[in-house]
Amino acid sequence: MGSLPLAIQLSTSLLLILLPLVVIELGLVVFSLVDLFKPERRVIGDNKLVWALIIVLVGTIGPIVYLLAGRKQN
Amino acid sequence: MRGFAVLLNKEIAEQWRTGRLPVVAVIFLLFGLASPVLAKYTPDIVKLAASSIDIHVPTPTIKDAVAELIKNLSQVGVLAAILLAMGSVAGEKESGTAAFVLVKPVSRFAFLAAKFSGLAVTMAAAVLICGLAAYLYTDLLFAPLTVLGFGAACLVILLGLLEIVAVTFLGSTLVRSSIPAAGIGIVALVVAGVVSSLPNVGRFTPFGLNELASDLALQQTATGWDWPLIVNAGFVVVALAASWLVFRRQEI
Repeated sequence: MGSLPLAIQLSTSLLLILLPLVVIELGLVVFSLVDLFKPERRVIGDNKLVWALIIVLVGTIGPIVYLLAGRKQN
Repeated sequence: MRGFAVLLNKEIAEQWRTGRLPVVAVIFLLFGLASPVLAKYTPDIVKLAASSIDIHVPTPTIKDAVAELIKNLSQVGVLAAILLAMGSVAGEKESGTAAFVLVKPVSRFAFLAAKFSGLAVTMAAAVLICGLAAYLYTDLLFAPLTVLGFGAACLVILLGLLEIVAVTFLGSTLVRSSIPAAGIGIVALVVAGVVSSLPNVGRFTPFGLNELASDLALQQTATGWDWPLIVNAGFVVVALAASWLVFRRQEI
């Protein structure tokens, strides 16, 4: 990597810094999908497929919108 | 305030049980951690992406880390505030829970006060977690911020977010469904965004407070903020008073 002066130096410390971000980001998506596909879960609009697409495709905002506004409380 | 303590306990337990409190806390944690990282490495990513073009990107500083945090909280934090508050009263009116609670010996004032206090506790916990994460990562990647200055900046950010919560809460009291309540919050947000760009009056909006938060975090001189702070806090009080005036005689 020394021959690439503009490249980001992926040192161990940088990976450790990035790891929590990746874990939280992926964790939000996985948690949202697991919650969405629980049989008893009811969602706004009654269309789980649309919510799955929102969670997966709309970046960080998708899981946020689903978890805070997409679920109907039992 | 008959029944306030019981209702507040119920609200906080409900924020936890429904997952709203942990979800908002995790979202704010994510942006607290991500903001200094983005500030630090965005220039490198830009250089990599435009490697064939000779582009000058200034070296990131601690100022960029603070600016990135405030920018992210002004976007995602505000979105979370609206989503959190939109169903607080409207959702309970729609589902009939409000009517069920209000036949018990609790006043309507206590019902509203507990609802807003529950939202405020959630937002305060989220901003605290976000602030701790941002402080740690800024220290790791740039230099330490002063605890007092950064803490004061977090309080100012919290005030701005509580304004958005209070206006959406008013919307939630006015209507019987969550979506129009969110619409009222978004309209207020757009108005605040437009007003914040105007000279002289911009400071009196939640977005105008971002400049103060930045100055406090970076230990820069911040003068003339007494009235903007009073007016912004006043917006919260006025929105809550209006919610009470609407709700006290409302047919549930």
